Amino acid sequence: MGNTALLVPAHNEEAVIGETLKALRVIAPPSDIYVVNDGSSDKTETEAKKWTKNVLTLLPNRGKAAAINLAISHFALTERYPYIMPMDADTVITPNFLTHTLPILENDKKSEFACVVGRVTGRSFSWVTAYRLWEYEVAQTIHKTAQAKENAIIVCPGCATVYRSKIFVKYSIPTETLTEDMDFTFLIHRKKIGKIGFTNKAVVITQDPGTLKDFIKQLDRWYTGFWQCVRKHNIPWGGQTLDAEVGLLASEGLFNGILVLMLFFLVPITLLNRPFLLALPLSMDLFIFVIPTMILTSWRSKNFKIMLYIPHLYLMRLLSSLVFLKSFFKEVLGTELKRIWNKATRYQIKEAF
Amino acid sequence: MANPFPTPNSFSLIVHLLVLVFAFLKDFITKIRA
Repeated sequence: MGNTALLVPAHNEEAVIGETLKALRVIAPPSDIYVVNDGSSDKTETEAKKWTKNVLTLLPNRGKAAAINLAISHFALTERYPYIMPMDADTVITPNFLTHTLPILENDKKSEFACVVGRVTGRSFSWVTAYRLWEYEVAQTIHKTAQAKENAIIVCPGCATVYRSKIFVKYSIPTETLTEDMDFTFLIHRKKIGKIGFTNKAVVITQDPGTLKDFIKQLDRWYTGFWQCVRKHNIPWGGQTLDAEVGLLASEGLFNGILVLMLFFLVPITLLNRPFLLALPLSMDLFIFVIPTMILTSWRSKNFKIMLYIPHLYLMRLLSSLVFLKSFFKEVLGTELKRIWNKATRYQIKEAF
Repeated sequence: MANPFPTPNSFSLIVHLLVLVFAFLKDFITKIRA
């Protein structure tokens, strides 16, 4: 038996869970792999049992966070393992993920770190996924690396984080918001459970939405969940670096959303009167920000065709800003909470790495 | 969830790049002094 329990919550994931468990088998024996099948109506349970005997089926389904909490308790994972890694059923772990994350926890003799986060990446096969790949690169290589230096990482992704198991003795993953991973991250900060480590070398490959409709649906869920977490954890009034970090990013996101709305009116007027006023900021953005970060993304993913998607990237940036603004108004003006699995159409992954 | 914000982020990008530069300089100076 290893020292890390790998726990996969799944709800109707028959198309992808096989690849996820196959990748986990490369780094761990079947006895360390646990699946909680949360009321699936497809063959998720049958697929899971091909790879491990540790399958818990919940009927009816309880939601992802509740499923993880129940599985930790059912399999007594906190008593049997020093570390627990929840892993999404649509995500493939790379063979060296634990090699890069575990030493940070093992060498931390004072137990200062509560968890260690790895890097999430995707596969580029369409203009939608190319945008997401670029977004991951900027968000993690620059923003998250800086957040780690400030001890203000704002989200430990549900598919790329190794936790000290003792955390789950006292705390469970919150079930009140749409983004349980961000909710739990905020809880770690608020309760001062420990530091959050980050390593860019440990990588998981997730399945991003392949269509624009699914992409918008995912953004809406993420951003709505974000505002729920902000309200729940009383941000920015907590007096922690987390409050400053979230305040910075959220206010900028809102500003961008309002700017995009204004652009619909300002661009035609400016183009007619003073087109150079638009050319300057746009060319600065293109040459100083977009092209260098796209080169970085292409180099990291070894796929230079991504550079062809620069025009699409502008459309997606505008769209993301509008969805962020919309989710703000939805969460501020209305308080409807949807604690259900809400996901994109799954498709089989042929190539694991 | 890996990225909870839209990524135009020009101002926060500058802030975070500055954080990284200062962190690098701090490490560098600490190593030199040691």
